Amino acid sequence: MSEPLDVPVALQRGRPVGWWGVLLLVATEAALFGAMIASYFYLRFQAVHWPPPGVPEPKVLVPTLLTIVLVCSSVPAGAAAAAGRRRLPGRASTGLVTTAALAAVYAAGTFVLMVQEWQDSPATKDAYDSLFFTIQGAHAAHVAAGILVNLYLLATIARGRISQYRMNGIWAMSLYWHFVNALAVLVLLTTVSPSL
Amino acid sequence: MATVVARDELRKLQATWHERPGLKAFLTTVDHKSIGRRYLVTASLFFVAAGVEALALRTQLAVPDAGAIGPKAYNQLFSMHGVTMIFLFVTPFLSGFGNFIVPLQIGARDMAFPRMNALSYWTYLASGVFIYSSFLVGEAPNDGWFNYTPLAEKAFTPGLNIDYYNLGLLFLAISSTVGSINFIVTILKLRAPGMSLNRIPLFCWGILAQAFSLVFALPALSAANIFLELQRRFGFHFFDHSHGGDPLLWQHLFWIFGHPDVYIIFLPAIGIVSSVVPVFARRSLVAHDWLVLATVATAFLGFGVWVHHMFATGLPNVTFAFFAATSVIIAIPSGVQVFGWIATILKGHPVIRSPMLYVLGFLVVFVVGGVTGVMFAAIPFDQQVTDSYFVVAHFHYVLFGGAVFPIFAGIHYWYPKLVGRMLDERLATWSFWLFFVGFNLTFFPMHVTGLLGMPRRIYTYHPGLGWDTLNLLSTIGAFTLAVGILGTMGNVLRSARRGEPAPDDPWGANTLEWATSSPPPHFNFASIPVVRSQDPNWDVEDRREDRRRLARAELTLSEGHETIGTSWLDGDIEEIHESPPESPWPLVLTLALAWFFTAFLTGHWVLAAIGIGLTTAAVGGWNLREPGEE
Amino acid sequence: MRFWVTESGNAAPVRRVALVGGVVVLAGCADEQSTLRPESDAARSVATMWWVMLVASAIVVGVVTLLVLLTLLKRRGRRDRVDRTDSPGATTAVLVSGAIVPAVVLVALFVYVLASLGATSQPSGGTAFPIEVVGKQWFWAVRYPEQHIATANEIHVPVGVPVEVVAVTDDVIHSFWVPRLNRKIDMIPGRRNRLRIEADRAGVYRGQCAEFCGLQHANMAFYVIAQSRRDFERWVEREQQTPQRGAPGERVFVDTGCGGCHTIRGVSNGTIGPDLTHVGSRTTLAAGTIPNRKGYLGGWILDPQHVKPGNKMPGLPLSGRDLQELLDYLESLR
Ligand code: HEA
Ligand code: HEA
Ligand code: HEC
Ligand code: CUA
Ligand SMILES: [Cu+2]
Repeated sequence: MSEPLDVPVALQRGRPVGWWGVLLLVATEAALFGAMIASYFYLRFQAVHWPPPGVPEPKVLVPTLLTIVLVCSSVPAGAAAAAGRRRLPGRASTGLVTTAALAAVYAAGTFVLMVQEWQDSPATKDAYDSLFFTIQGAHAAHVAAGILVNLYLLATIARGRISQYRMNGIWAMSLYWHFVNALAVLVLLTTVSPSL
Repeated sequence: MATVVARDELRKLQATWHERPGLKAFLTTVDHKSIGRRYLVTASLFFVAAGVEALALRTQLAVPDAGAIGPKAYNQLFSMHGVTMIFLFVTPFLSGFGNFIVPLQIGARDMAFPRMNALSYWTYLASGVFIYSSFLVGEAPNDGWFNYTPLAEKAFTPGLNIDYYNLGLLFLAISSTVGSINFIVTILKLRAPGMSLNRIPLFCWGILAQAFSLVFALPALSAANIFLELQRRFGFHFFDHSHGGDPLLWQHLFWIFGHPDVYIIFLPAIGIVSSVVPVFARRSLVAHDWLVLATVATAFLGFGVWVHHMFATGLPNVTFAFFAATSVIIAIPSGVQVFGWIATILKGHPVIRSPMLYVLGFLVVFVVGGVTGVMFAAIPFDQQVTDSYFVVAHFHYVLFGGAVFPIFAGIHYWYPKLVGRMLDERLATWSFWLFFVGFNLTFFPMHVTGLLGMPRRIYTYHPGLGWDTLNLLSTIGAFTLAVGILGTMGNVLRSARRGEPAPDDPWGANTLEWATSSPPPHFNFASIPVVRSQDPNWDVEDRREDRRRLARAELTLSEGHETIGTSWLDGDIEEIHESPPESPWPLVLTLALAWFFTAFLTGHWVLAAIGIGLTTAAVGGWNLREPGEE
Repeated sequence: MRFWVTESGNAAPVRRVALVGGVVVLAGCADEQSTLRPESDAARSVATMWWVMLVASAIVVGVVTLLVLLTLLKRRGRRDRVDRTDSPGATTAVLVSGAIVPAVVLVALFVYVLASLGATSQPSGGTAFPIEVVGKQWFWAVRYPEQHIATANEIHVPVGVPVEVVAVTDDVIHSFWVPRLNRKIDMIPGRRNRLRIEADRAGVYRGQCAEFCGLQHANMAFYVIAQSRRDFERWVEREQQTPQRGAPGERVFVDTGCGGCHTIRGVSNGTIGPDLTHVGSRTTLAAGTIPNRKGYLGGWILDPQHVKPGNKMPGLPLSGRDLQELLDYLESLR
């Protein structure tokens, strides 16, 4: 073997390693939620009454509307990633802001709902409530973390330049958002399942 | 002319990758080799701790009705022995080898995420210290390594014992998760050009299978830890029957993690075996592709057997039959591997040196542990001997025999590369025989004590049940084994200063870690090697070409912290991967996390909230500057 | 020394046997708890399974060991020489010996296992004689629902009659295990697990808790006492009797507060500790921890935490006379 090897500088044909890293993070988080949701159904199928007597049926309408709002945020998140790849800071910023705003609506709405539901029947009441609040809370925490990441990225490109590093960041973030949104649907289906 | 270019390139690489020795470099290094060594040293210390705990157990059990250790201490000691060996010794020790060896074996200059790598070390260290600090308050975890509820609930274990367990394992989970993701991306994306999937060394396959298993199995344990901590601290209900929970939920969650975990330990360990065998058999592996397939199959099947730990719980027999079937199937990939190694040695011309001694020892003892594992798949037999010393015998034969023997093979095999000096072969041989005899003397009698009805986790027993002599033998064996281990430890320490200097490739090995100097320079390879077979270091002409390429300043990437990114399937060059230099943030983030966990443990909720804030800030600080800037 | 001696071939249990020497406190005969000395169909089927699997395993281990030793006989290789040829023949040999042969063996094993499940599993019919055993930290409460008997740590069963043990728990998970009679079964909160035991012969079979249950998991043993039908019925009759009232020790028992935790039928109805209605007839105390003899009993009552550290009975102060009366009383409860 003697043909000289040319290495093209800064050529990127595949996805950045950061994207792969987030993909695996998403995989392990999916397994975490999988374990929690499986626990929910495991206990549900052992119970005679689910929710137990005296615990109100889960609300359906408002959580569904909120979830729809959140799922919509996948669009601006994807747009931000596309704009990032084309190094368009303005469009990327718009995408990031819109994503964060939609997510914030969801987070605020979910927070209010959870406070109300806690007053009706707190997590310490029984296994049903414990799982309900733990799964909801874990998901809400993921949304909150996502909002922070979005704002952080926004700040880093505020100077009007998107470096390779930040571009990879936005790309990876959009993957995370798609995951959080898909998860929102699963969490919704799980938590409202007794009312369906 | 050519040599001038080469010298120039080397100087540039030296300057870029150099870390000035000193405290600052110590705290901020991201070099996978330093981190790997740290993992190995730290895990060894935990091994000694857990080993001393084991010796304490054996001392108490040497004779019936002994009074050396009371029940309170005994329960903490056996729990910490199990927790330490599994979580703080074997797994991290293998990660240490992984850290040091994987980038070298695939021809990369570092891991994909060097700072994350530092993070996974620091969080490992911190969580280990966290768990061990429980001894200071006399409340170490005491409900066994699988910590069944309801015993682990607040009503039955009111102290901090189980909070240490839950929080410590969650803390450690951060380390394992980050580490696994790093290994996967490194192995998939940073391989040397030409190292297509089918040319990945088997040790890397082992690490890859381990990392994938961790990514999918560990969350089950974390979920269980979170649930239990919420139940203990805030009165949630998950495992208590009185409020709609179920104690078996814990068992399911634990073993959905727990069984994959035994292969998480086993697969990288046998990766070491697959590394050592061809080198000392002087032959490339027989049935190579089947061995890869077996590794992957074991990792997959490992997710489908967990209920075999619950055969005595009274679940329906159809459930048991299913899990018994999967449990026998899993013996087949192991069979392929065992006979693959044996065939390789028999077809080759073995050179019997200390690494090979440990491998041959491994083959014999692992099969003993394997067949008792298959016996457990016989449901009624398992229901008879589960939770007896027969199980203790099985899992030491597979854990110690199947993982610690290979680890010792790895120590003797890679020591020259790690340290740059050779071990004393005579001392190594002596230690091996003490180790081998001591091991069997300790654990073989336990099969019989178990069959004679001795339950595990008992701090004492009455005389006359037929267990006395056997227990005494086990204790004598344990101390013999300890002397053997002491021999190896002495060898390792002594040779670090007095051993003969090691050549680059003392064994005539087939993988790329032996293509660079011993120990390797910070940048690992001056010119990234190009690979054309499964045994690249036996391609003498290719390695000469590497050197010629250096002289042409090709693939040297001497402009910054750079290595080659390749496509995951074929190993085609895709990008030049920028690798960040040293950073203080991994340590800072770890300290923030330690703050959080400590505040949570002690119930200072405001401080815990501040800990979350600090953690967030540290993550932000980490990413504030781009690796290229500075 | 052992607790039980056999009476002229008929293995009925006999009262305690005198203790020899100070050190050896408690012991059984060497195989009292051995899975390899089965005394029932169920345990025998498991023991047979073990011997079958042992032979098969010995062959596997033997072959592998032999092959490993064989490698030592091979001509030694050299550092500078390697063999990189492909060897399809060897690969086939690996697959045959590592996959195909084991697959055949494993399928056979699996079929054998399925066929043996019936011998050890829960009874399907309701014909068996029920006994409820409640695991508690760290002793066993035993109830005979049809005979209205309650006792502890010693389970009398008739020989040759299938007995259905209903295994439940009051606190954490325990596991009911009498190796010579059958495999074990866990006692799990919220579940009523069942296990059938049927002793072939009269005799005493030691059992022990097999799931870690806290501080005194080690001292949570019990005895199954299999008796001929007649002996068993006599035992039932005696157990059903209510103890005589009015002994001086009875007053001590009540005044000291023992009754808050212990039941003596007609006297008190505590449920935290073992039922003591016929404690005098038992062979051991505190779940197989000490022999039931006056000296040990006195030591237990004065300082149970010394005898069995961490157990749930507190030491209670008693004057010498009260203690004497109490001991006489408890011993009289036969
Ligand atoms: C490295 C760790 C490791 C490994 C590799 C294994 C390997 C296996 N284990 Fe083990 N196991 C543990 C670690 C491990 N185990 C631990 C830690 C526990 C106890 C946890 C606790 O309770 O604390 C446990 C407990 C355990 C149980 C539960 C016992 C109980 O608690 O009642 C069972 C039940 O099925 C089991 C089965 C198996 C099987 C079928 C294998 C198989 O993978 C083995 C396959 C290998 C071979 C069979 C040998 C090679 C094959 C041949 C030479 C081919 C020919 C062979 C035949 C024809 C049989 N194991
Ligand atoms: C990789 C895993 C691993 C390893 C290597 C070991 C190694 C050893 N184990 Fe392990 N063991 C477990 C994993 C492991 N164990 C697990 C998971 C459990 C279950 C816990 C539970 O039930 O929850 C267990 C349980 C367990 C028990 C059962 C306790 C009980 O049920 O009551 C016993 C009893 O003998 C035991 C003994 C030993 C001994 C003697 C060693 C020896 O091989 C140790 C040898 C090592 C050393 C001795 C240290 C190094 C030597 C020196 C530093 C020399 C200098 C020191 C002196 C001479 C003082 N172990
Ligand atoms: C707070 C509860 C409590 C009180 C009060 C109490 N006991 Fe107990 N006792 C127990 C428990 C629990 C056990 C079982 C201990 C074990 O084996 O782990 C027990 C066991 C015993 C046993 C052994 C029974 C057997 O069959 O193994 C005797 C005898 C006994 N107690 C007598 C007494 C007497 C006499 C008193 C009063 C002086 C007393 N107890 C007061 C809780 C109590
Ligand atoms: Cu009860 Cu162990
Ligand atoms: Cu398992």
